Amino acid sequence: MIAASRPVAATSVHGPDEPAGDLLAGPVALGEAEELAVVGVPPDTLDRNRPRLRVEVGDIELIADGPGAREALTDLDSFVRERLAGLDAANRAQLLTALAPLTGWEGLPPALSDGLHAVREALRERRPLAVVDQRAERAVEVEALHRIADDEFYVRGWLWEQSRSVVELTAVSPEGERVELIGRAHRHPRPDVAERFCAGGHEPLGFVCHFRTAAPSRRRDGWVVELANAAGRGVETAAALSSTDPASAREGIVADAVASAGDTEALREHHVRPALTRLQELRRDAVAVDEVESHGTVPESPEVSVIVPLFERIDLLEHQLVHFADDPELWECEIVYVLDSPEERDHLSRFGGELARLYGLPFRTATLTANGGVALARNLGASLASGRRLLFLDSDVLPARPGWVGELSRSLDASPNVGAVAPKLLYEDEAVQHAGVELVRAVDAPEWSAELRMKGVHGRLPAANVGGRVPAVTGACMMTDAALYRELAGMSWIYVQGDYEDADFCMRLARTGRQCLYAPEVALYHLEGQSYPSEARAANRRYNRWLFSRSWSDVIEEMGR
Amino acid sequence: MPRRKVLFVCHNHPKVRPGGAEEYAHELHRALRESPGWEPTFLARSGPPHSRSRRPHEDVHVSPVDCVDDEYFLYTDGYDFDWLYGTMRHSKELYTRHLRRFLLALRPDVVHFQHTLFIGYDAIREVRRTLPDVPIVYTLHEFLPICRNKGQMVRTMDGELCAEETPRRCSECFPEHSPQTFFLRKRFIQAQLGLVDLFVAPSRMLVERYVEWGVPRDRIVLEDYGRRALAVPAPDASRPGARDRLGFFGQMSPYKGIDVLLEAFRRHGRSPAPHARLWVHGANLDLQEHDFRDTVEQLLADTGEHVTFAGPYEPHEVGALMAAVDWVVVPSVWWENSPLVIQEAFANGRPVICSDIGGMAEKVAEGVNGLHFRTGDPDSLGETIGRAVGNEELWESLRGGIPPVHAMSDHVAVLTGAYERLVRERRGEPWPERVAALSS
Repeated sequence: MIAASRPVAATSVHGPDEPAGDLLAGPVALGEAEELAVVGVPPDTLDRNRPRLRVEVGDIELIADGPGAREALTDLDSFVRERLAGLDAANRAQLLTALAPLTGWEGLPPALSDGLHAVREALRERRPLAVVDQRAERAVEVEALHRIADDEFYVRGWLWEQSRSVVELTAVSPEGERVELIGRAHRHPRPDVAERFCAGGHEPLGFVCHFRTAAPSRRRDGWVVELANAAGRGVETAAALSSTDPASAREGIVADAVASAGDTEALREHHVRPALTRLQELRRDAVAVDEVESHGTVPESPEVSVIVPLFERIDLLEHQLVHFADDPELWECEIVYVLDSPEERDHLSRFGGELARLYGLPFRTATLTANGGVALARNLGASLASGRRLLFLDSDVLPARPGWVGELSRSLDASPNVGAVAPKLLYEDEAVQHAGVELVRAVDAPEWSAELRMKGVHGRLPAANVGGRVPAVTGACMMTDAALYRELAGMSWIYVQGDYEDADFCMRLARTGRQCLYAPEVALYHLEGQSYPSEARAANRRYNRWLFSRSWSDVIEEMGR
Repeated sequence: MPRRKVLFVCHNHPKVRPGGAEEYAHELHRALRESPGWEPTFLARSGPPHSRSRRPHEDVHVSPVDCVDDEYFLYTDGYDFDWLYGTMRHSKELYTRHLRRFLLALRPDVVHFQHTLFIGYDAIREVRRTLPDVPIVYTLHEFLPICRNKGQMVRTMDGELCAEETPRRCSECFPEHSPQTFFLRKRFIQAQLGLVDLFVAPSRMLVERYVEWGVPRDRIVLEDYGRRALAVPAPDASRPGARDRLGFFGQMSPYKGIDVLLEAFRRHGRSPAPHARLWVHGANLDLQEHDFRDTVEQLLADTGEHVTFAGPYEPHEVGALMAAVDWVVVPSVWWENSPLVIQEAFANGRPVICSDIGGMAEKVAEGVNGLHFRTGDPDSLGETIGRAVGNEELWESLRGGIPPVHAMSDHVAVLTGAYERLVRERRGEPWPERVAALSS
């Protein structure tokens, strides 16, 4: 008899077309130890006298029930070896296929994963391990494997098959689930690999694939990727996740998007974008306002809410407050600092309190639950704001003189149909950092690029001081209407690491018939570039530009007419 | 009518460690004690690493100096002074708790900062926050707000004089800080100094430098240091016709050019003129870096009996020491402001041989009351000494050209006049940002 209690509804252990019990007779349940799986195994795959199998995952105990219960095995390995390993290959494969979805449980316990992995190791048909050798007839190698979500993965590698007749490229999860990649993977030339096997440099030996598993998989190692040719010969290679956190997964995938040769459009569209968008989506879901702290009494019903994302550089708070404190208009504003690096929470709380005592200017700080990037920080800051107007300000922007908030607000008032206004931003050497954003054809790709107009010329150059409508403006200092911002759902979170979401927002404005305004009569300093952009940052920009162009080329072309 | 109260804030007390600015500030404080209208209080920063004593009481950062009722130490023990920004790095409680408590207890009518080094520019903000109607006066002694290199405006890589600060040039001197960081620094310090109602600069050169840097001209006044009148100026005890005794008075630091002076003696076969003798009355050689100390010690050895290293002296001894020389040499290789040693020399009737730059060239008129030489050039200095030594006629002429010293009583009258005017019409608002680039 089965020792079972709560059935787990989410788990389907039989095929949709097969009646329950044909292949595996349910139920799957949690026992007292809350980690008890009970599955029924079809009679024809086991000794008829032992038609049932109990898997107690907490202690990894597998018991055959029924008439043979007394011979119950308490050791998973020996049970598998003695009762299952002797089955023929087809039955073993069938059993594996049936067992893998067990991980579909919510709160998949690591022990179950481990148990299934052990079963898989005992049951699966092994192929020879791939050896990278000039004379090898076939080989496969995984260079990167990222977990996007529990049931979503991204793999990059290469394969070699002398006969050029690859029919299977299969990812096998540690728990035994098999996912066929061959029809789905993006294939691209790998001249470096081709050289090893004396193949042609144009041959698509590289592969990249974003794929899903039916059931979640959470083990870091234990992946296998198999290669098979038309004649049924094959090799396999072991793989483990190459990143342990979403940020490094993101970085690895973005790097692939810009580094790969061949048809990068297809690669980005079918593999990179779905993977990155999912990562960004999970990030969005994970980030919320954790805690809000008020320093002083924030003005009631303010006209303008100033929202400043803070990331790591807590010291910049002081450098803004010292100037804000001397500007009477800022005392009328609601000032919200959004801490996007929660590990600085205590530091900000203490330092913010001391600065509030010294400067007297009231402000609030909102700490996020996790790092979300600038778009999410702005959106979450906006969700706390009560002003009619939102003024997004980066923490490295300093006012040049008092009065700038009112000037921006008035220029917005005076311009019908304008959705956002931004001032002139200067570097510390009086060079222009921002004089509006223009959308131009990129020189190195068929894409639209958002470029800072006049960047680098002296701030007094007349051409940099012609105000008016521009295609887009920066988010480093942008004023917009709060209701409109909410109506447009704020800034997009799909871009990687704070770039292009401001231009994207301006496109949302354009799509709803609104324009952006550059107001050179107002100037602030933007100390951008305190460190030179890293390679990773340059790669993000490339990907973001592609994503932006993909999303908005129709609107941009319409604007140009 | 009760006397009004002025609070002087200084970075050091001369009792703790000697120094020109603090000597002057303390002398001003003592002179004000006798003023009928103003009652002074002297708040001097103290605490490690610059003083030996630590704050004596738990949770007390302001306490009297050796039982005197109008002098206090502001102990900065436990606070971490940031040289770059001129602020306390990790905590503002020194201002918002300890200084605030003192300000509210004392309730001065004017706060006159003599220095904010080791205290922080935030102290100005604290005064403005806590005593919104009290005028703030700030005396400029050197270029600390402008220049990260100890306020000397001398470049770090080669000791060249710097005539212009920009974030880019500052970052060249301190490559560990970006131009953006230097811009933040300038803007931070300007914002705090923007709360000052009146700056006092003891030399025209300082006035011009600070106006260029952004201080509005109408907020800065040229007013030299005042000094107490000497009962008796130093007697002229030289052998007639010799005029061959020279004296150096001051810090033995590279900026004061002591090595240039000693080198001038060494190059000319131990002395630029046959009988010339030099007395070096120098303090704090022990605080200098090893290389510089070695250089100076080697030069002293090389110049033999022509040079006497007499070491440090007490302020009250200076008259007697100057009586024993004919010429006072001021060979500084930084700009100087209004060197007190020049005032001292003039008060004692001694012509000055000095570098031809900055506050020295401004206070000593070439051929009128002293001689200039090319800054940092031992040959030029040697030549000038050669011209001066033994020249009785020149000495008499230069001595005759020495102007009267700015008396402390006159100085006090100027300052208290300014205090009274400021109390009547305190402006209070920060100076508008001087960003010409934006007005186009």
